[in-house]
Amino acid sequence: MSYLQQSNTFSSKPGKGGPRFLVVIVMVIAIMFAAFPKTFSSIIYNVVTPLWRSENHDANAMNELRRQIDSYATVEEKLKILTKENEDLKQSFGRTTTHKIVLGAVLKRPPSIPYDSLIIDAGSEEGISEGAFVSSFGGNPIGIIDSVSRTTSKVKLFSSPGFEHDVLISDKKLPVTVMGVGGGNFNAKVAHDLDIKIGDVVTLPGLHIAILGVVEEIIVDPSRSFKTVYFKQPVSLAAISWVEVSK
Amino acid sequence: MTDLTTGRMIVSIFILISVFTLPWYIPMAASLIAAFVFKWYAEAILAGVLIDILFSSGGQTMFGIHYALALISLVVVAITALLRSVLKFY
Repeated sequence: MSYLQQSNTFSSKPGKGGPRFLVVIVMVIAIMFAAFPKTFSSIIYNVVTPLWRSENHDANAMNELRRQIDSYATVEEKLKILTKENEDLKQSFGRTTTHKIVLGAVLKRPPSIPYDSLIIDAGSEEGISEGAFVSSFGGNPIGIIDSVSRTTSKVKLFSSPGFEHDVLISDKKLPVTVMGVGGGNFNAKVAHDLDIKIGDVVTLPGLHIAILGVVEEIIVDPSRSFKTVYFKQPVSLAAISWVEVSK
Repeated sequence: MTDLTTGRMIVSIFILISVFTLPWYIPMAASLIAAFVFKWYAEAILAGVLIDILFSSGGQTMFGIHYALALISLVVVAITALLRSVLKFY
């Protein structure tokens, strides 16, 4: 005659006390949890938070980048609105900043040519004349038309070595004469007391907002009465494929 | 002699085409090397002048010198001519 073997987890036999002990611990924890829910929750949170943090680290980084992109999009929209408002205001005072623009493809550019010049595929046939302003695709001024043939034009870049122009630096519009030093770079010698900081925007004077560059370095020589400001065009000359020429 | 003349013509044509189609330092380098190979290689000066005229605009300089590439070519051609006159086996 055979009998089913009894399975008694609460047996007091040696070696079988583990499960019972676990049950007791679980019950104690459950009772304590019920009695002091806040304390136990905080203990559990303290234990698991590092785990959650490590899990969410990548997700958080991605969310931060997404948030930044969204904020840039907002800034861009604001910029469009403010630009439109600015133009409307100028129009209401009888001034207009809109020009007729001719698009030109860049045929030759540094470093393929030895000088700070561009050769573009638009000439007198397109109505381009000498002295016209040339901007990169997007509106940053880069030079002026130096000579025009029927189908091409030569652009003298503002950064040509020795080419001097008057600009305004920072939001205080400090008037300064800058000199091109080649390769899209400029420098200017200014008085020590002029309040110019790294990151200040350099613009060409005029109704139209024309950003020539951003101040990248300022070298102050205490033995001299001036400091040297270095800045660079925001667009790389080697990357310019299209330009806008004002008619 | 005929081979040298043919070679000079081929090199000159290459330099002329490369002035318009390749980065400026390739025709310049080729013409300066050719100045050492061929006698009185005046085409090097022509290449320098051509690059200067085609690509420089209103008063642009290189190292503060107007028509710098033409001047460099002229100097190199003059030096090679001088070397030919003083060196026996050149």
